[in-house]
Order: sequence, then C-alpha cells, then structure tokens
Amino acid sequence: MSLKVAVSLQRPSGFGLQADIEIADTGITGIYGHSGSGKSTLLRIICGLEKGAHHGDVSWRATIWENAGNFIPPHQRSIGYISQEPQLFPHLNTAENLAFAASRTRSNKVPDTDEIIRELGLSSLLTANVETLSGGEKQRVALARALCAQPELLLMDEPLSALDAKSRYQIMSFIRRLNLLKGIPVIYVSHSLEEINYLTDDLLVLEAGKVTHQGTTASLTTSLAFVASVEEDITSVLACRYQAGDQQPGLTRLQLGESELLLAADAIDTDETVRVQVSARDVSLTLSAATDTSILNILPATIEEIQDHQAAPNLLVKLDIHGQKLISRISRRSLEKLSLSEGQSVFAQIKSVALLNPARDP
Amino acid sequence: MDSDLQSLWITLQLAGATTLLLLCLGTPLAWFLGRSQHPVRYLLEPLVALPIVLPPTVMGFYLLLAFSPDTWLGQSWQTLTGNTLAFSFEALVIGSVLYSLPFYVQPVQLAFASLPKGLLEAAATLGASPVDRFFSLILPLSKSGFIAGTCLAFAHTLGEFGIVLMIGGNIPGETRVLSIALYDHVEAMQYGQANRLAAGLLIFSFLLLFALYALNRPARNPGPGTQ
Repeated sequence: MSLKVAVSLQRPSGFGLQADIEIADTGITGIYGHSGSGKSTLLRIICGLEKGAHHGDVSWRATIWENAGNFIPPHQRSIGYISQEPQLFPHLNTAENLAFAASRTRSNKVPDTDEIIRELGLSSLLTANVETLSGGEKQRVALARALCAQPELLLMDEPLSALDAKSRYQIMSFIRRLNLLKGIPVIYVSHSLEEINYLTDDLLVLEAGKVTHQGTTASLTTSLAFVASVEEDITSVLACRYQAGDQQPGLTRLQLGESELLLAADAIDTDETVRVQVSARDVSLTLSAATDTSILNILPATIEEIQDHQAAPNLLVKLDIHGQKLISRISRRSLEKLSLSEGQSVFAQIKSVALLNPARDP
Repeated sequence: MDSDLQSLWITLQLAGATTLLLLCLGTPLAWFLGRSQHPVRYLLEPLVALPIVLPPTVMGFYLLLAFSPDTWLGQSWQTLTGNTLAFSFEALVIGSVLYSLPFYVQPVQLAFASLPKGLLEAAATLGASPVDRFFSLILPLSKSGFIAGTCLAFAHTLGEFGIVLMIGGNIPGETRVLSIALYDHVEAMQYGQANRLAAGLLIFSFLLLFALYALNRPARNPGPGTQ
C-alpha cells in the first residue's frame, strides 16, 4: 500500500519532469531539491492541481487518481495540501476557515476540531480576522484547516520557508507528533536539509526534473555521493542519549556510544534521544588525540569513505563513530599530509555542536 | 403625467430584465475573460468593450437590420412567439443587454481576475467542488465587483436613448422609456414636465452611484494596511 506516481511532463518553456516513484503510505517522506528541480510540480501532480499538463499514472493505496482515461479532481482526492503561502480565506475568520474544511471532509468520521485547535494553540485566535495573524499563526491555521478535512495524506510544499526559527520548530515538532500519534503519512517538500533531517524518515532527491536518489533519510544524508551534490552547508546528525547527573550550567553532557559529547547549552531533561547536528566544516581530523587544544569534543572514529573529486581543493570524509556517521570537510593538502585512507582510525575534533531538537514549547 | 408613470414603469422593467439577464449571461463571460488564457479571449475583450465607444445609433442601426422580419433572427422570433421582434419590448431588452454588457462584465471580470489562484486551489484540496467554490469563495470574494457591475448596468440602462429610439421606436406602454418621454416633452415645449423627468433621472443616478461607492469603501480598507 503506497502512493505510486509515474509521470512524464514537458513544458514549452523547456522544463521537464520525469518520475517513476513509489512512496510509503506511512511515515514522513521528504522531497528535496533546488528551486526549479520540479519538486513542487511533482507535489501538485499528486494533488491533481496540474490537470492537462502531463501524462501519467497516479494511484493512492487502492484508488487510481489518474491514468490514461481517468482524472480524479483534487476535491475528490483525500488529501491535505499546504503550500508556502497559507492561503487562508480572507472573508472568513479563523474558526470559519476551520469549519469550511470540517464541513467538507471526505472521511465519514466527524473531525475532532477542538483537539486540533488545542494541539496547534489556536484557541485565542478563533474569532480573529485571518489577515491580522502573524506568519507563524497563519501557517498553523492552514495546517489546522487541512487537518479538519481529515486527509488520508498530507502534502506540504515548503510550508515553513517564510517563518522564523521558533515557529518553524514549533510546527515541525507538531508534524512529527501528528505522524507518530495519528499515523497520517506526510510528503514534505523542502530545500532545507535541516528540515529534511529533523522531519523525514525517507527521502527523494530531485534534480532538473529527475529523481536522482531515493532511500532512507539517514542513509542518504550520510551518503557522500548525495551530500557532495548539495550546495548548502553539509551537516551530520548524531543521535545521543542524555547523561543524567553531574551537569554544569551552560554545558550538557551527552552520551554517543561509549564516548561523551559536550553541548554548549543548558541541561535538557529528557529521556528521549537527543539529536544534534554538526557542520562538516566544524569537524577536523587528527591522528592522535590532542590534549593541548581548546576543542572540547574529540572522538575516536574510523574513516569509512573518502569522496575524492580530482580537481576540488576540499574533499569530504565520512567517519564512523560507534555506528553513527559524521561527515568532515578537509582540504586536499591535509589529506596528503596525514596520508589518510579508508579504514584508518583517526580522531575527530568537533568545534561546535548544535541541538536539532525543537526549542521548548513557548 | 399618467404616461410619464407608464414610461417610468417600462424603464424599470427594462433595466430590471437587462440586469437579470446580464447576471446570468455576463457572469460566465466575465469568468472566461478574467481567468482563461484561451486566445478567443483577445477577440472577445474588445468586442465586449465596443458599446463604450460606439455611438448607440450605430449599434441600434445594425440591431434594427438584424431584427427585421426578413432576417434569420427576426423570422425565428416570429415563428416562435408570433410577434415581430423590431419595435417590441423584447427587442429593447436584447439591445440593452448588448449595450450595457461592458458596464456589467468589466467590474466583474476585474474581480475574477484578481482572485488568487492559490485560494481556489486550497478550497479544492479541502474538498470543495467547482460549484461549491463558486458560491462559498468566488461569490463572496468578488462581491464588490458584482455590486459595481449590477449598479452600473442598471443605471446605464435607465439612461439609454439612442439605441431605444432606433430599435424600439416610441410606442407608449411598450417601448416609450423615460429618456424618450423626456425628449417628447422637450419637442412639445413642455419644459416643466421635461424638468421633472430629467431631475428625477439625475437624482436617482447620483444616489445609485453614491450608494455604490459607499458600499465599496469598507471593502477597500481592511486590506494589507491593517496589520
């Protein structure tokens, strides 16, 4: 049971999209790509908003949404679609916007509007003119409205790109909870690896209208072949455990396998896995554990892979630390000086570690 | 005075029928002109605008030819209804619909064209069918365009003269509208009665336009500036 899309589209402008993909109907699947890569178009095809522009097959679970002879219009597909713009109806207030969706649900259950309002913190905004809301509030209303229609599949097209970091993490943590608790599958289009890392389980990478990678997010974001093609800052995500006791203010001890990782942040009291991100630029390599350095985090690691582009002055090294992957960007000169090779044991010096988990609730 | 009241009644009937027909026929046309990228649109747009620049007598002349009993239109009308089309109230309605078309279509078209596509798409993905979207979204969001179009078409039909004279003539109780009655009074040197009709039309038209601008004013204010 899944979403299947096999489409081929060619626009007069020269833009083309070829995709033949299958997306799991559980979890959160990210679609990553640069602007113009076709990721929004792919999402709009799934929604049924690109009628007549392409030829192909789209099916959701046991239902055919589109093939040679059929086209199910968007209002008959059980979807929720959230774009970068919240698209709230300006002639209706917040509550009326939600009621618009709730009264048109394609499910035979009655939507629990009250719970959605509570979860997204909209109680105080119900009678507000939607044009007076802040960007983050608008997007929360848009998400609530989509949920009031009780979709079987939630499609999101860079919904957070216009928001500040705090609103972004608030909404991202809600989407994760929603997926975990309600089991609503989400397809999440983004050009931010941070969002992809935080939110998604599976990942699909589009480049110039073609799918170049598909796999689990964890395997793709640590695959050097993929990260080398990414123009933005490369980060690795490490899953750590919170270490109880003996915490200093402003410094948190985390457990990464058998090693200890220090995070410059006040202690966070949680039983959950703490996910931190490390920029590849902030990881340097040494052959012995230096003691005369200001860097706090020095971890033993094994070189798993070296991405060697002949011409580039910098190259990427993938390290294994107790089963987790960390990517380092070093110069070709360093590689030659230390004569590094795959399989070698080294020490990774990590200059800074940032928390990937959301900010606490306001 | 009795015949003036009769003219007023005919005028109101004409303006009412014209406005109703424009609501039914002009709305889909305005949607096509405002939202479609079809090339036919570039031909239709100037055609719809023609009555604004043409002397009413030009349109009246060609309509008169088209309505005469030896044309296809005049003949079919006669077999269908048993009456001739020219110099009838129905002819006036057809003429008025064409003549007032741009006054209804243009404001509505403008309102349709400025509807954000994303809002309509959002409504579709929330489960609203096309008909549902028209009544729940397009109609309320284009309200000011509809009000403007309806008022302008009604007011414009009230003041019609040239085209009425060409295709309707001056038949009391059938085609003699207020503007024709006014002309008759002037011809007969009855300036007092002419003044009554002229002043009445003037004041009514002003009040209608005044109300129209007043209605549109609050819709303009709570725009982006309120944040």
